[in-house]
Amino acid sequence: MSKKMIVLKSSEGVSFVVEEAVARQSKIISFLVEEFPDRELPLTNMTSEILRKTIEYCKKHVVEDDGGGDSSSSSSGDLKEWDVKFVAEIDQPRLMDLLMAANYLDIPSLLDVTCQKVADTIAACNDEKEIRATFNIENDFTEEEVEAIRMENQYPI
Amino acid sequence: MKRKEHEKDRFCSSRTMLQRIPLDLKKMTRLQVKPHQKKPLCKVESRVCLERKERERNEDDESVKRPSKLLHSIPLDLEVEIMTRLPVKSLMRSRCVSKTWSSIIRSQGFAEAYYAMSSSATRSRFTVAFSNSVFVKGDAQRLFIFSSSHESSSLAANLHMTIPSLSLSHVSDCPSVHGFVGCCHGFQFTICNPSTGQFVTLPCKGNRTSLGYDPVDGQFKALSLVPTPVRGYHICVVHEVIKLGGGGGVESRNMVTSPPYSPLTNRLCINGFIYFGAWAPRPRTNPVIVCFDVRHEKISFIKMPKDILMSYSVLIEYKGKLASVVRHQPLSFRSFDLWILEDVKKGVWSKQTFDLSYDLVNITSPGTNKAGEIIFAPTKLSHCAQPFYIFHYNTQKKDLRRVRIHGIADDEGFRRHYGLVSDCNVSVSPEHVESIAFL
Repeated sequence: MSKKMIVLKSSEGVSFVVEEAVARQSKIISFLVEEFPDRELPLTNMTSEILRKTIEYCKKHVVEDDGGGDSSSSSSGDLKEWDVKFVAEIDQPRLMDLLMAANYLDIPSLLDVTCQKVADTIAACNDEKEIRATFNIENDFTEEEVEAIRMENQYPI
Repeated sequence: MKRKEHEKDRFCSSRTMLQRIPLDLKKMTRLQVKPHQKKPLCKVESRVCLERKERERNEDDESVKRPSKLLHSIPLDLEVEIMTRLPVKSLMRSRCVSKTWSSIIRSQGFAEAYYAMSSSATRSRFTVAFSNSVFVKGDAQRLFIFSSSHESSSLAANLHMTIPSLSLSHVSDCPSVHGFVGCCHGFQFTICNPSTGQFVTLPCKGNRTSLGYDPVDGQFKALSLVPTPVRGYHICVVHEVIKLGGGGGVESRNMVTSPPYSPLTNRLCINGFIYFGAWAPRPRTNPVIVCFDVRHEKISFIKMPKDILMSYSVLIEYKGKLASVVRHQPLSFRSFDLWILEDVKKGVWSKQTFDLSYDLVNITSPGTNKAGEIIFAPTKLSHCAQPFYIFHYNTQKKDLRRVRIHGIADDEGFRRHYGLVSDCNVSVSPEHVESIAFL
């Protein structure tokens, strides 16, 4: 039985031919292929690079339902390990793009791993200055305000 | 779980983002008018959104060219998604990052989203509270609260907070209620959040006080039993209800009365009610469960068989229901009864008896873990450096498992550092959820 394929098109106009089962991990695509079965889906806000990454993730996470059990589907522990490696290899700006893509396409598990990776990066920062530097956030507090916030945690005996 | 989904609806992102997909969605009205999309933004989101819009407008006005802001460029609801995954310590630090971050972290909506996230099975925790010694007096007293995850293969507890001038008596415990730990010491009651380090000590009219939480209004209240001595025992009729809040203090105090009773067991808060076992009206008369409705501040009694109420009965929450673990001997036991209140209105209890493979000495049950196993935990730290164990009892497999908690009084250096002398009472709370909320 041949597998049904669909076409996703990136912002640069590059077409990606993907198995429907793989793409259906996106709730949005899942909905769209039912409504418009024979159309290619233009994802004009996703670059080819991010789309490729997203498809790579979906391919790894697709649940084989052909019932044969011949495809050695990864155990959940292996998948977790793979996820960690997958997000570890992506640099900060691309991670943000991937997080946004997971959000746009509604892929909850990818959104979870990307959010967790960003949270881990924040948690690994030593202080608020490092957080601002890592994420390029402007400091709109005065020194006094920062000191006041720090003091809030000092509880009197 | 329902609550979690609700939070997701409010914060999570994906659905509200549907319209932004640049496909031919404009034609697809069906997608655009999903009812949950009409949900109003919660307070924090709308406020922060407004602030942000204003800022963006200002930036446009000034035509200031700024470098691309990585985190800033993503929608607020995704920032919230990310922040709910941070440990509390990082969150406390993150309040200093920017005004937007600070207002997200301080908002009620975020505290609720964070609690919902922390309640998930993978983040479940327990607390271990102990004091340096019952013989140490006054200022030298310390209550230490440690906490550990249930998840990792080797459990190691870390110190979360130290409360000065507070000792744990052999009758008091430190149950965790909706992220906060309450500890009664005489006519004072201390409530703390081990995650944020905040603690508040309140004077109470009674000497048996416990923490309750009303999930409907999201309100903490303390119930204090005011005893009247009558011929060698205590009778309770009057109660003080302390509504907590308003920036670390007391919002109001009310007096509530009930028919007379004599309290006996530990007090336990489940889903908006505080329960405890008592004799009504005098010791050795009618056994009842006293039931305090935290929201409506009303007290009622639930009838129960005599066998459930012994001096060594302990009330626990078992699979969402009130239950009583009756140890067959108070100090050292090898079998116990588990009574479950199956029907609150009719007062129907079920009973099962379990035999253990070895004796448990100086052990009580503080409740169950997420898997539904009954936890047995020590009431005292040993007199010398020894491994600290808790026990998990699986009622289906009838299997008792010993689990070591690393990092609790297990070496001499630890005992010296925390100034532990003999007789240190300890209280384990098996289901603790991390909370970012402040009283």
